[in-house]
Amino acid sequence: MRVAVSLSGLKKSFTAGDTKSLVLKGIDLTIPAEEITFVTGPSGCGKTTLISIIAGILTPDSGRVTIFDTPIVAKSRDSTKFRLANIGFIFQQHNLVPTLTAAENASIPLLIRRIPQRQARRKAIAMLSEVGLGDRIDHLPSQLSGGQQQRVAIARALVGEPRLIICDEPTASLDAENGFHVMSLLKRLSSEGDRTVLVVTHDSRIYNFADSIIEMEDGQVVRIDLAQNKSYSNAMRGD
Amino acid sequence: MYVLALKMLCRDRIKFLTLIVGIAFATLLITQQGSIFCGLMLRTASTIFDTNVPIWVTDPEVRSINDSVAMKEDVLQRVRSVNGVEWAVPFSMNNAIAQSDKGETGVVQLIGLDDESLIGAPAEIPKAVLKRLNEPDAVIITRSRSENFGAPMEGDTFEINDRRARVVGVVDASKNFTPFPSLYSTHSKALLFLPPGYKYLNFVLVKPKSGIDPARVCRNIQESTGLQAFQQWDFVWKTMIYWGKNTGIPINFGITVLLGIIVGAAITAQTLYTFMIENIRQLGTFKAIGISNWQLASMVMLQGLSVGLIGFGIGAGLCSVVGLINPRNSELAYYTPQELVIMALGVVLTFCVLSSLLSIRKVVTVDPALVFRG
Ligand SMILES: Nc1ncnc2c1ncn2[C@@H]1O[C@H](COP(=O)(O)OP(=O)(O)OP(=O)(O)O)[C@@H](O)[C@H]1O
Ligand SMILES: [Mg+2]
Repeated sequence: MRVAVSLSGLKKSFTAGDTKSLVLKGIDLTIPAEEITFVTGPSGCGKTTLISIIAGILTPDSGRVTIFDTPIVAKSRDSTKFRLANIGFIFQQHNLVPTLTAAENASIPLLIRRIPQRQARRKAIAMLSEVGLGDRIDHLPSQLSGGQQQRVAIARALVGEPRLIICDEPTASLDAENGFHVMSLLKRLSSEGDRTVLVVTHDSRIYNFADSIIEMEDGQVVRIDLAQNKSYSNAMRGD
Repeated sequence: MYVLALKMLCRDRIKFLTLIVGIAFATLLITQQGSIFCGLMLRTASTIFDTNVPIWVTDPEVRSINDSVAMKEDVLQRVRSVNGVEWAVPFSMNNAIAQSDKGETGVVQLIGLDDESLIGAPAEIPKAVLKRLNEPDAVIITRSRSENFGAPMEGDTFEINDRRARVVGVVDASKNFTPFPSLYSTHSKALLFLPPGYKYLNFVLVKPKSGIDPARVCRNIQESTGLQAFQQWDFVWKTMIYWGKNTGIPINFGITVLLGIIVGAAITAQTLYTFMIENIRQLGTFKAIGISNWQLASMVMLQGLSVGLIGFGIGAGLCSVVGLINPRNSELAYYTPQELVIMALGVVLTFCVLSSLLSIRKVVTVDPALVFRG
């Protein structure tokens, strides 16, 4: 079992005014590669905080993050480069640039990597076709439905062929049908490319897309469930 | 990435237009206030421009074209004999009281040109009209400010110090800074119009021999006659500085111009900064994806400089349109020197860069975690 992400002793607190609240209370976790792992838990339990730290966007108070055997130092230049090359993001708000077309939005990660405009556009269009938006490449986000926007966001996350895809509530703003479509798409594309997917979600309707589900409560991991169709995974127990 | 940065800028039509209009307005404010200031200051020296000769020789006491200090008649001969002088002619300028035949009385600026050459007459006076100055009692009056005398026409007569003068031409010379009309006459006739006793030669106009440095000729004249000699633009500057010092125009108007610059700069900075801050979520997304601070800063700077240049172009264009449609001799003094345009460009771009830097600071320190939150 290959390991994608390993966390040890992760703690994070926020200070608001003069009250300091411990949001992550020491998390040890191993996320297996090439699988779909869900992180669930009640609102405010620290899920977004956790993935922000994994992405190297937020600095933990203590603890270590390793992704594909690379230690992540938050906010460092190296971690930014690593993120650009290895991690694709799907945000809850999809965060598409409203003034850019689907193809332009989807090509952003490639352009940041200084891949030439035309080549980037070609790849972005290919990716949009993969997500079923081949006929919407020149539409602005405002001209697309919520589900279509989320699919553009998926195209953007996948276009750079990242090994790890991090999604925060990817289906929260979608109806059941669209949510199902988006998740099937994510599952198909990730299994094609041997990608690891980490999904933060509340949405119980999509739980059966998960290979395993990590349940958090109040800054701690309280349970790790393996989907019934999954063979036992030692990695989850940290063996 | 940079193409995307420009697309993000332009596609948001309303914000883009607001930015462009804001910066264009700022540019216009700076350039047109500056142009009026420059126009006004140049007007103090308009007689010098109208006369348009390379070198002016005056009494050492003279501080501007409006200082009329008479020199002895023999200075003409002395100047003519100076090394490097091709020709030297008399030019007098004195105020006199005139009364029109309609009974209106007022001050006129009486200019006496060299009898033979008539050098120093404004180019606007047609040759044929100028020739008529040799007729007895002949004067040419400038149209501006002549309303005080019932706007005399050709053939009308005046009395200047009880001597008859006859208008042989009405011309549009440049407006100057005195509230009086100018009367052009010949030097010898001007002497007759003025109270007897004085020689009334205020200026000697000089052309240096070709191939000789005019500055050198000025020095020669000063050394051998003890008079002052200025090249045209030096005399213009001396006159502008004199008026500046003695009227408070630069201070008063300078404050207005400065205010224009400050308001313009504030508009530029404010509109640009607001635009950048409104985009911060998108830029945060770029950061989460993994854009480097350097790339991000370049994008913001590119956006700032682009709107700055476009807005400046439009503003400066409008300013020059005002200059073009403003008739040459209207009440609106308006002159846009190159230096003013360059200065305005400097101010606008400086503030575009400053507000871009401010936005960059904000963007670079933005917590990309914010894009994960709702
Ligand atoms: N920047 C911050 N400053 C202060 N407190 C914060 C900050 N970010 C998060 N928190 C707090 O940390 C706790 C966990 O927040 P987090 O966003 O990780 O929760 P979550 O599990 O993602 O919740 P949700 O399901 O509602 O998205 C919350 O109590 C929140 O108020
Ligand atoms: Mg959250």
